[in-house]
Amino acid sequence: MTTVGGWSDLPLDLFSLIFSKLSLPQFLRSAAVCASWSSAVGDLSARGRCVKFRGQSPWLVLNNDDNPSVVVTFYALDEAREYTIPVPDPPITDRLFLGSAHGWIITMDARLRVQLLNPIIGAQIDLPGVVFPYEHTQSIRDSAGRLIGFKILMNEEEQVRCGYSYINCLEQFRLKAILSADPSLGDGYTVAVIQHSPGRIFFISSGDDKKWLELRNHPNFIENTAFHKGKLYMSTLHSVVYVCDLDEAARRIQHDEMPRFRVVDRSELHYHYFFETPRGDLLSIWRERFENYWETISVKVYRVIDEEEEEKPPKRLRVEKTMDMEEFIIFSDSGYSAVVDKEASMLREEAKDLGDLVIFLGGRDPLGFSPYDFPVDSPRLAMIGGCWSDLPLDLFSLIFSKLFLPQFLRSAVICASWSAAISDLSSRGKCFKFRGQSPWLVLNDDNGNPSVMD
Amino acid sequence: MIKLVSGDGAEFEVEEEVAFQSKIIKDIVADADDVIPLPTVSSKVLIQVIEYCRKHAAVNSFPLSPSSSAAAAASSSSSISYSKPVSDPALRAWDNEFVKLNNSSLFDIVIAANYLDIEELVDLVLETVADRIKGKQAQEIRRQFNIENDFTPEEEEALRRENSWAFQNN
Repeated sequence: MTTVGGWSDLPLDLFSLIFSKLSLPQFLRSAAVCASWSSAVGDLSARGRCVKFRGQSPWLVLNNDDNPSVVVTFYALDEAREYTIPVPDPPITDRLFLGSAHGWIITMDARLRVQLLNPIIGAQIDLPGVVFPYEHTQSIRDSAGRLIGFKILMNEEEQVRCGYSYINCLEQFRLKAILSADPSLGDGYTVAVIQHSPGRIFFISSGDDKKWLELRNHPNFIENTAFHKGKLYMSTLHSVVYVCDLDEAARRIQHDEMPRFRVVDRSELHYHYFFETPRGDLLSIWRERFENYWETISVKVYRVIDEEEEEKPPKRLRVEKTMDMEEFIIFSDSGYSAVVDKEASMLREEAKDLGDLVIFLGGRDPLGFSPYDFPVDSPRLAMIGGCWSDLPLDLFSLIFSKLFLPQFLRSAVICASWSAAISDLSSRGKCFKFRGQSPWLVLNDDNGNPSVMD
Repeated sequence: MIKLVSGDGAEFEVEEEVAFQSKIIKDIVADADDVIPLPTVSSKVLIQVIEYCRKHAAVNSFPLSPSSSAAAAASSSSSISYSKPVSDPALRAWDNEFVKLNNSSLFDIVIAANYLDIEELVDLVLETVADRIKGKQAQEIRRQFNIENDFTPEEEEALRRENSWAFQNN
C-alpha cells in the first residue's frame, strides 16, 4: 500500500509532529523540499503559537570583532555550526546583552535604550531608555555621543566609573533583563531590567511602553528574579521569595501607592534559583553551601504555588499596619522600606521527584534539560556552581558536548563571554565530542576551581 | 481475545492488552464486538504494528502504562513529571531496532498507527523520520523520502531567499 511520494502527502498533524522535532533552521529548510512540505511549513509558521517546537537547542552568540556589525553570528549547539543573521540597527557590537527569553534577545545600546530582538523573524521592538543607574548619575559621552563612563556623585565626592568600552562600563552595574512572554504573540508582555546588588527593578509593559516604571519599595538585596505566569518573582539574599503582580504594581505606582509583595517561599538556605519547567511549574530551588568551603551540602526543590487571593479584596498598603499584612523594613542606603503581605499566602510543596528533568544550576539562571535527550541517570540534579562565564575550557567542552542533545529548550541561551571558549573549541573541530557517561556532578567554587565528581 | 482483520482479509487474534495499545480499538471494543475490521491496514503492516503493541503491552503491563502514569503524575501534586513516553532503556533499545526500516515501510506504519491512534508508535516513527531529515539539504531529503521536486527553479530560489541565513553552507 505504499504510495509513491507518500512522504510528500502527510496529514498536517503528522507534519507538525515531525517538524516539531527539527531544529528551527532545519524546519525552515524543509520548505524547499516540495510544494506540500512548503505549505506545511507555511501553515505551521502561521499558527506558530499552537505548535510546540522542542527542536531548538541553545544557541550561543559569537562575538564579532570590534567593527560595528549589522549581523549577529550564532553557534547552534545541536548542529555544531554557525548561522549569521542580519539584524536591525543599532549595530549589534554596540549593544550589551541583558538576557534572552522566548526566542528574543534583550539588548541595551549606548544610549541606554533597550531593544527586544528576534533575529529569526527579523523583528525588533525598540523600548525607551532606562533611567539608570541612579538619578544622580551622569553619563560621560565622547564627541560621537557614545557612552564611555558614568560619573557618580556620592557624598560630594565624584566617583567615575569607566571601562575600556561602554559595554565594559555598563557591565559593572550587573544588569540583567527578563521577559514575561513572547512579544510575537501580540501584547501582554512585560520586560524587567534588574540591577543587582542591592537591586533595582525597572519594568515596562506592552501597550504602555512610554516609559519605564521603577518598582520601588521592593524587598532589597535581590538575588534572582523570574517571570512566571505574568508575575514577577524575586528572591533575596535574605532567603525569602516574593511575588508581585506588575500590572497591579503599575496601577498603584501611577496612583502614588506602594506596590504589593507577597511571600511565597522562605528558607534558611542561602543560594536561590528559579526555574520554570517545560510544563509550566515554577520551581524554587535552594542550595545550601558551606560558607567557607563553598561546597554544596544540599539542594531542595520546591514547587511554588501562588494561589491568588480572590476572596481578599486588594488592600491599600500604607505604612501603618493592617490586619492581614505585615511590614518588613530592611535597611538600605537608598532608604527604601519593603512592604509585604504576611506569609499567609505562602504555599509551597516539596518536589519529591523532578521527573524527567535535569537542571543545571549556574551563576544566575538554571538551565533545564530532558534526560531523554540528555542521559543522566542519577542524581537527577547536576550542579554547576559559580559563574557560567568563568568555567575552564575542559569543563566548557564537557558541557557543550552534553548540550548537543537537548531538544526541547526553545529559548536561545546567549552569553557573549562564552565566545572565546566556543571559538577555541570550534577551531579544534569535532575532537571534543563526548560519549555518554555515568552520572556526574560538577561542583565549582567561586575561585574558579571546579572539581568533577563521578 | 480480540480479532483484527486486515484490509487483505487476514485475521489476527490478539490479547486485549495488546490491542488496547490502540485507543481507537479500545473505544470500539467498549461499545461493540470483538471482531474489528481494519480495511486500510495491510496484513504486512498490521503484523508489524501488532509486534510493536505486543512488546509494549508486555513492558507496560507493570506498573502503569506510561501514558496513564503521566496522567497520574499530572494529577498528583508531589511529583513533577515531564513524560517522554519510553523511559525503560531496554524498551528504547527494542524500539530503536524496530524502526530500522526503510522510509516507505515507516510511512505505512505511521499512517496505520495514526489511524489506530497509537500515540507512542506515531511518535517513535516520526522521531526516526526527523532524525533522518536532520543535517540534510532539500535535495538529499527528496532523494531519501522519494519526493518529487515540484518547484520551478524560480519558486525554489524565492523560498531559499526568504530565510537565506538558514540555507547558508557551513
